[in-house]
Amino acid sequence: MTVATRPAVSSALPAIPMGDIAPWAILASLLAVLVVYFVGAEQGAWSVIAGTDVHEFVHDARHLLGFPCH
Amino acid sequence: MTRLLVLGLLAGLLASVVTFGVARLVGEPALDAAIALETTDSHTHAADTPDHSDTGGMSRRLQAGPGLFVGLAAVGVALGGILAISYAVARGRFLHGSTRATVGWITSLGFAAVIVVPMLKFPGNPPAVGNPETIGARTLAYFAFLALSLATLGLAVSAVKGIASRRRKMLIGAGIYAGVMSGAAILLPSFHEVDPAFPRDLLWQFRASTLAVQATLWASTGIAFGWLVERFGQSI
Ligand SMILES: [Zn+2]
Repeated sequence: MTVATRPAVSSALPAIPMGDIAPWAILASLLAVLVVYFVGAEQGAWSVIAGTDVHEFVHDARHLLGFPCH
Repeated sequence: MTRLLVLGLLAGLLASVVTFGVARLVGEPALDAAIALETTDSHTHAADTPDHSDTGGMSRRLQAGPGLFVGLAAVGVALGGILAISYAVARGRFLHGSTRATVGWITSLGFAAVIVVPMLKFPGNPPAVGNPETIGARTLAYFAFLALSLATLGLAVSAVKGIASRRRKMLIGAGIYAGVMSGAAILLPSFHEVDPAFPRDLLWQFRASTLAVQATLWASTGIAFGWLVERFGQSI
């Protein structure tokens, strides 16, 4: 923790350039938001697909992960 | 970077297999007990929430088997992806320890901010509990609180980045986070919708199982990711 201002110390693991991370970070965040939306909220509070099939299929996962369900 | 991300997704998938076992073992019994209460109890809203009865289009076997697994695996893979990104950002910038120590910090802080704190304010409800008319408001409040918690964690971590003393760093970071989140918890509405007739021990069993499921998912994703990176990702 004392090397906080000098990341590139030989024993420490190197920092990964932000430019390499950024596109993947956007992709992963989009994926995560989409997944959490469909498992956690679709056809409950909001609905983009008609019916209740999505809600019912992921129903147990939604409850057991602690999302508001109904 | 691609390799790190693939290892993260893989870790999340492995973790969801373990989590599926825990969910079946500790979660499903509580879920089934609550559904049984709901279908026998005619004054609850079973009629307008057909999704919780056996007859509501999808069988319980499908919901508790493939449905549960797909839901958990999707969330597990997404968590693994976010963990890989967080690791890539934090390593050498916010955290300077070993791979395992870095992953351990990220998963612990993430679990506290994304799961434990929102759960304290908005604990999950089993079937038969919850007013269908407030599902919109409850879902919105829950996700708003979750987003604020993540943002506050990010703010607190950035704010203490330059502090040399480890002790001061943790105290100030925790202070910022606790201050903002306590304020938000007071300002946001609470929902007290548990029917007094609903068995308390079943409510507890259900809520404890949601914590167990999330704890299993996060811990095993972290452990699997740390192991995979040490084993296959040292060149990154
Ligand atoms: Zn439900």
